[in-house]
Amino acid sequence: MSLTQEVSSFLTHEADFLDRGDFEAWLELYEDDALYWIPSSPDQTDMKGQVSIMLEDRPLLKLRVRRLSHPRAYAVTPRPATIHLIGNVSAREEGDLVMVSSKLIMTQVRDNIETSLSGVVSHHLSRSENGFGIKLKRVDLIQAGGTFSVISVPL
Amino acid sequence: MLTIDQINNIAGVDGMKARAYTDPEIFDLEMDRIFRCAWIFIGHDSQVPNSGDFKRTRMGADEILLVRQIDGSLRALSNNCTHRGTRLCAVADGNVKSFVCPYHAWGFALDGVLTAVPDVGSYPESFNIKDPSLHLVSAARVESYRGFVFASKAVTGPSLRDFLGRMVEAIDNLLDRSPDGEISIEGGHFSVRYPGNWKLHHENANDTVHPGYVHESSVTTARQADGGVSPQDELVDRGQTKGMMASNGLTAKDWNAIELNGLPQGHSFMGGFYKSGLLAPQQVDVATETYREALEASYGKEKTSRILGMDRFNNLVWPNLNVNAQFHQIRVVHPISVNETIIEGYCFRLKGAPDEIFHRAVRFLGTLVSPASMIFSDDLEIFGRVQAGLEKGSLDKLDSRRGIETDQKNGEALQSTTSSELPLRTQAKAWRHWMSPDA
Repeated sequence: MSLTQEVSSFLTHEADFLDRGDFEAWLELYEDDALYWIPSSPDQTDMKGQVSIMLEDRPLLKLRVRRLSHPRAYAVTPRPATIHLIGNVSAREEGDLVMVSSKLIMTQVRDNIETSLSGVVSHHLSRSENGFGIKLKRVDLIQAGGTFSVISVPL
Repeated sequence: MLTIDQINNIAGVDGMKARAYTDPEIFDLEMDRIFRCAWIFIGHDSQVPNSGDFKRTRMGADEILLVRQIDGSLRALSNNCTHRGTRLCAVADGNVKSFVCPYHAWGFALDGVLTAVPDVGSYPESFNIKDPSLHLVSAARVESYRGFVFASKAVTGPSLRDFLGRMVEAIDNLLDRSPDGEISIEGGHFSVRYPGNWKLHHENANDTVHPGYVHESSVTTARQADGGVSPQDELVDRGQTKGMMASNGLTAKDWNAIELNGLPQGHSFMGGFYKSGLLAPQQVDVATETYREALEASYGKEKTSRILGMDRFNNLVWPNLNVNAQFHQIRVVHPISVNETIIEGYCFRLKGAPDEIFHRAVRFLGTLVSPASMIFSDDLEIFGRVQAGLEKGSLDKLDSRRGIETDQKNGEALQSTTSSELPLRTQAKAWRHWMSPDA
C-alpha cells in the first residue's frame, strides 16, 4: 500500500468515528501532546495573540468529548447527523512524522436543516506499532473570518 | 403603525408579548425607531485609526460604512450608491481615498459627497451633482465616548453622554485597566449567527438563573475533568477554559448574591462571578504582578486597587453593546431579521500591560464567543428554542416577574436583592420609550 493510501485509510477511519458519534474512540487517535486547531483566519500562525475557533490540547478535547455525551448539552441534543467527506489526500514523510494534507466537506443535518462546512486539513501523524497517532490536526475553514452558526461537533 | 397603548401593551411591566419577537412589522418598527434613533454602537476608534480607513458594519438592518475623515472625525455612511442602489463596498474594511461604485463608477468622497459621475453631460439640467440627495446618506450624529463610537440617524435626541449614563463607568474602567490609558481592538474577532430575535441576547446576558441549567453540561464536565495537564497547556490555555466553564456552577444562593443594577436608559450590569482560577480577581502570578506594578506606576497603589477591584461581568449598553471591562471584551448585537441575529465578539489589548494579559483576553474571547464555544453554543441553542417556541407555540406573553417586588432603589438605578429579572424589565422600559411614536 502506498503512503497516500495508508493515510487515506486512517483519515477515513477518523471520519467514521465522528460520523458514528463515537467521540471516545475518536479521541484515542490523538497523542498525549496533540494539538487540535481551527484558526479564526486564513494563514494564521499565532496561537496566543490571535483568537482561534478551536485550540485544544488533549485534556480539553477530552473535556469536549465528555460534554458531548452529557444529556443536557443542549447544542448537541439531539446530536446532528454528519458526513465527513475527505478527499485530495497527499502525504509525505518528514523525519519521524507523516505530514498530510486533505480537503474536508462536512455536511450536517439538525432540525431538518442541512448545512455544510469545508476546509483544508493538515494532519501531523506519528507512527507506532498500532498505526498512526495524531500530533496535530489543523482545519482551515474556507469560511474562516466570516459568520458562522454554532459548530457543535468536532470536524 | 402601533399606538402608544399598543406599545405599552406589547412591552408590559411584567413581560413582553410573544409577538415582539416574531412579528416582522414590529421588527421593522424597531429598526426604524430604535436602531435609527437611539445611540447604536458602531465600532471602536482603533478599528479605523487613519484618514480613509473604513469598516463595513450595521446600524440595525442598514449596512453602513464607518469612515475616518481627513480631519480625523468619523462618519457613518450608507453603503449603497445613490444611482442604482448598488452596495459600494463588499470587503469588510480597508483604506481608500474615495468610494467608487463598481456599476457606473459614481465616485463619492470620504464624507459621502458625490464628486464624479461619468458622462455627466448626458444628464438633464435638473441633475446637479451637488444635490445633497445624491450624497451617501450619512448618520445625523456620530459621537464617541473615549473611543467607543456610536451613531444615531435622528437629528435630535439625548446626547451620547446622557444616553450612556452610568455605563461610562464600565468604559472608564476598561481604559483605566491600561497602564497607558489606551486600548485597541486586536487579536481577531468572531461573528456568530443564531436563529432568534435580537432581544434574546441582552435578555440572557444578565440573567443569573440560566447558567445553572443551560450551562450545566459544561459545569459538570469541567468539574469532573481529571486534571491531566498536557505539554501544550502553557501554549493553549493554562487552565483558563476549564475555569471559565466551571465558574457557571455557583449555587442558587451565590447567584442570588450577584448584584444586578438596572439603569433608567435601559442599560444594566451584573457583578462578577469568577471566584477561583486564572481569571479570578485574587489571582496572583508573574503576569498579574507585572501588570499590577505597571498600573501602580501610572496610577498609584490606591487607584490601582480600585481599578482592579471593579468586579463586574456583563455591562449591557442597550440596545446593542456588551462591555466586559474586567476581561477586556465587547460583544455587539446585530439584528438581521425578526428571527435572525449576528453577535460579534472582540477583545482589547491594553497598552502598557504584559503580553500575557492580552493573551488571556484572546483566550477568553475564544472560549466564550467562538462558534465552537462549549459555553456560548448552549446559549445560542436556547435562543433558537425560545424563538421556535414563540413562533410555533401559542404563548401570548412571556413572564418577567422574578424579583419584581424585592428590587431596591439605588440612586437612579434599581438594584436586585436576588437573581432578579430586573434587566429584562429595564430593557422593556427602554423599548417602550424608544418605540413610542413621540420618543
